[in-house]
Amino acid sequence: MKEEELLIQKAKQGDDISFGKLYDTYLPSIYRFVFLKIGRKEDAEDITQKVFVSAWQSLKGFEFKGFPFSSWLYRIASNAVIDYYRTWKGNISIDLVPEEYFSESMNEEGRIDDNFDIARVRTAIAKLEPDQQNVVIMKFVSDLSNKEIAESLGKTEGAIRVIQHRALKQLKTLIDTNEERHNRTTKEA
Amino acid sequence: MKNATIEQLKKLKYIEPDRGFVLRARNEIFAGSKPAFSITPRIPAFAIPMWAWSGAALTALLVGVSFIVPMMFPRPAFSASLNMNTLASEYGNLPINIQLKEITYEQSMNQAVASAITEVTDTKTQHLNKELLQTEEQSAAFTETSSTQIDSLLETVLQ
Repeated sequence: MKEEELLIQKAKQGDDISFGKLYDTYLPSIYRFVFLKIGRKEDAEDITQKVFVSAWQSLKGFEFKGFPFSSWLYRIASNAVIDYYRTWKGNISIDLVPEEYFSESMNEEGRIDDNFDIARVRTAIAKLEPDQQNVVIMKFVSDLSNKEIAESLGKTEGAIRVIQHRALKQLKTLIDTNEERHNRTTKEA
Repeated sequence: MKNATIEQLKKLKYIEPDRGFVLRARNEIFAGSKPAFSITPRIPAFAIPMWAWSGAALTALLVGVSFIVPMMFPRPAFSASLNMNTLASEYGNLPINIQLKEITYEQSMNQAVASAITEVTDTKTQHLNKELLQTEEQSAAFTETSSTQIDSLLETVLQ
């Protein structure tokens, strides 16, 4: 945390190398969050870039309060997603995640098997409430603590726990329902 | 059962951004306008009264020094214009200079008034001479001239 604090201090004084290090550290997780919320590669890239441009431009106003820098970035990202949905009138994409989106550490078999699981989970996440989506992604995909999530979303830790509990319950129901429907369709075919 | 859902959620960690995008976005962010950063060191809130007091003390010290030093070590006037003897002689000559200037002014005014009176009373002055005005009026009168050639040309054009 001290190293990150030092990078932030240097970046606040205009050191782009320090901000570059923060960018390299947090870009993948911010992109993942935005992509899972939006489901469209090009739009997710646009929004992610905007998040970092905004962070770079307004870094001067960032106050280090003991929370990781990521909490601040997630807050910018969730606001950017809200702005995106305010103006966007299309449908939420529930396509499979293209293979090139997976990290290279996964093997071929893993990619194919997991692709279906991921598509199912993504479809289910897309049906959750926006707050539930944020909490589920931040908690289980980005591995943030409840305290960090609370800071990012401007809620109390208690509220986060409640949202998380309800989200998991609903997510399970949605996944099971989808699976049953899928099995029924396969049998009929 | 919940654990199975969580396990499925954790698979989403494998989603990675496109490498081309990562580099492109990085370049675009840093190529854009650099935010305005302050180069002055930030003063912590608790230190602000300290800074204010030290500034006030420094100002008071400078003011004090600028008054006390000339009193303790008086120096002769370093400018000729501030020499007391010169100033006194200049002051003494002041009424004479004023009187001389008044005389010069009155002389020039008298000349101007005299020349104006002469001009008004002189009937042969060119701009008031009636004969001259009449001559000018006659020469300025328009004479109607008609050119048959021009008329015929205009008619041709109109046809």
